[in-house]
Amino acid sequence: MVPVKYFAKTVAIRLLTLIIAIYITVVIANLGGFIDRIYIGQIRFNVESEIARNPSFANLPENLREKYINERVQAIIRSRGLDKPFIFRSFIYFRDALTLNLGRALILRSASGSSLVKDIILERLPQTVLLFTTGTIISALLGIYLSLYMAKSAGGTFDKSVTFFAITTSIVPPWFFGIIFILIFSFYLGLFPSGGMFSVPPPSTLLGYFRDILYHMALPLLAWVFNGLGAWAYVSRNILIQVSQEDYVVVARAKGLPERLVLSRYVLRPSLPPIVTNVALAIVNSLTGAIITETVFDWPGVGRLLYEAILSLDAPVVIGITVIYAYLYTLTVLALDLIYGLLDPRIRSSR
Amino acid sequence: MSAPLGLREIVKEVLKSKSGLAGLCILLFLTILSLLVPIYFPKGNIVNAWNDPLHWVKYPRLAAPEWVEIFIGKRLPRTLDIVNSDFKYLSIKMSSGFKYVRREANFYYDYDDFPSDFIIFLNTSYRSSPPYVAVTIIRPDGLKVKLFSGTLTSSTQALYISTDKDILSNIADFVTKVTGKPPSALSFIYIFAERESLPNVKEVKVLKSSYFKPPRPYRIVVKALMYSKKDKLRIEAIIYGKVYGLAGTDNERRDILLGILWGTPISLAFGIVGSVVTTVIQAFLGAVSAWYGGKVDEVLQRATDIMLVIPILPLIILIDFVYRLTLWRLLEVLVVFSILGMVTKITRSMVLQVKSEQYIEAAISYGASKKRILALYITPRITPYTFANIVLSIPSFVFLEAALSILGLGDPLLPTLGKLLDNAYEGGALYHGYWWWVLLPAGVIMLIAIAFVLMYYPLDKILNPRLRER
Repeated sequence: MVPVKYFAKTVAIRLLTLIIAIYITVVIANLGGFIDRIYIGQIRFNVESEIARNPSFANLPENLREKYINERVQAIIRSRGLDKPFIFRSFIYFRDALTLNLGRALILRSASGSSLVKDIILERLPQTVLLFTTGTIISALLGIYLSLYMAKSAGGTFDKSVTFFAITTSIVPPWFFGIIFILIFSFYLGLFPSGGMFSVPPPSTLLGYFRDILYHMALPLLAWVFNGLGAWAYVSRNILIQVSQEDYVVVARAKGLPERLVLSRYVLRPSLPPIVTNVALAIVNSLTGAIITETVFDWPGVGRLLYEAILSLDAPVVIGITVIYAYLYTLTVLALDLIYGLLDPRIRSSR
Repeated sequence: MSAPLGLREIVKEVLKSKSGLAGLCILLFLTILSLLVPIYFPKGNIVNAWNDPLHWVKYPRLAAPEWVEIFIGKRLPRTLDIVNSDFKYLSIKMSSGFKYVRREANFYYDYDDFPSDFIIFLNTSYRSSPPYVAVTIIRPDGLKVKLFSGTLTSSTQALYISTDKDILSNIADFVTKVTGKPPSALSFIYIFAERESLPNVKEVKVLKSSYFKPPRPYRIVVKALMYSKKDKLRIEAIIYGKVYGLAGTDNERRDILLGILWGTPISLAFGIVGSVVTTVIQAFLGAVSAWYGGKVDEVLQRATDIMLVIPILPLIILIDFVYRLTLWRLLEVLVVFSILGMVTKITRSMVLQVKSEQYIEAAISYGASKKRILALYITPRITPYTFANIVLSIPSFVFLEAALSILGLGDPLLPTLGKLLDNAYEGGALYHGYWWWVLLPAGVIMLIAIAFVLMYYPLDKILNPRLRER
């Protein structure tokens, strides 16, 4: 039996949350219309300097020239819809964002010269997936693997020391490790490059090309895994220990089931849903990259793009990235909600 | 569920454990260090001094901490400041309105490495025209190095021995004269080089005063021809070292230790205020949401979901970039964006469990008001969690400040730990190996993080009693 009512309610609530979040993001990313005012100022500046450079306007009287400038500026403002009040425009931006009609960037361009926000983001996405999604998956796998040993000897020296290490490294952000790793591994030991993605010029063979990327990836990847590993180990350990203290696990042991079977069937299986949730959300999170880590390592990914967009006040790009993230996040959470609702009747009733 | 613990019991629990005590000791140590700032730097406004390049003229640029000598096993040069009164008058001659002065200062140089820089400041007050000045150095081995001769062009002139082209070519002439060969590259360190080791700049060795028995000094000889009896010349020579103080200096010659001492309490205050305010608000709203239920709950929960979908960091960066926030304004913005969050969700689920317990029912039945129950019976139950969360998220706020600084969005004036790190990053410390500039501020940030993790560690056991050893 599929609980239709529960599903409908979950979907409705999540979508409503998404819609409101996107509207708030649109308003904040435009700083409540402040970005448009800066933009209008830029239009005016551009028109004025264009006319100042043009010799055919040199003989025009001051007031006529002023009038011409005003007309030009007003025409451009009208053509871009900037003459309407922000509250009105915010709903146009909102509609575009909601329908993922991301439009054109104000300033940024993709390497191929396109000004479409979609092109600009898609161009950066592979680099971010390559580094951060890979890093997230590696640290999740290693961390969960580590957590099995921690949970096995809970309270022991190994568990205690890894827990301390885990809490500490998960608090210290990856860019911070990055700075220290650059100093040690790049400057002093000379093992890895300090940043960037390719050597200049890039190697000509395909194999050499991949090796070059790996060589550049090593340090940021290490920093990312170093930060994530501990958190994965610690959180998964807590889940595992909690489950292994359930009565049915005690019963399974009392029945004399072999430890391997108890672990795989009675402990691991019920621990999977929260761990899978964490992994799914972390992978979604990794898609937007990491602003500061990418900046420190000069990695040309989505995080760096977001930062460039902020520095050039390119609101469409900022909105584009954040809206895509909000969509992915909501859809993932929704999918997990529905799957667990289907699998576990207890969740349905607690809503 | 854990037994309800008051704030006092929690603090006691932290202090009882070794790790909690260790964490507290680290924090106390950092606080005491910061309190020592007025002793270390007694004069005036530190923030102004920090941002004023003139204040740091007499400090060496990019000097390592003095204690590196222990690891290197060499005696590295300190900064020698030879002030006006050190320049003794050897002779003063007057004739028909001219004044001819000869002055000399001695210094002993016994370090295993060359100085990093050498500047002679010449301040004059004159009536008609500026004096004619000649500066020569007489080395312990008796060789003379002519540095400068000419009419001063302004009343405050500095001779930058290490960069001035004319002076450098004078030094090169000296090398050529002594060895018969021109030097391999222009440099001022030949002044301090042994005669036999010339002329290759890569092979030169330091000529120490102590090579002679008794030790012989270097002598700076300044001759000045002044055109009026009342004209004056003030001389100060600074031979910049390669090490300074406990934490070295940065590329603007600033004492990094001062930045650390001043920045640590600022970063700590930022972390503590940010963490306490956001956690308490979030926990309170979570409790309210669960306790009052109904519409209040629905609204707060939906609002929390919305906040969790919005990526906050990029928006904060945008706001900080456009409005150039000061540190405290940034804190306000952060608080506004973190009114609702994960803590709201977690405290809500905790209070939902507490709500169904019997003592709450008892309180309701004897007629306690909703507010009273929330304040007196429910709040204590979420206090341990709230406290632990505060402790654990203080470092996150410290790192957030550092992260924004690394992006160049730190406070424009205050030297915070993050700002120091940003200066080092921007100054290329990572790529030139100025390790002290990076590692010392980073080390203090790490120390703060570790202190709070150590204090959190015993709390973790209180919060998750089921996770204790089987």
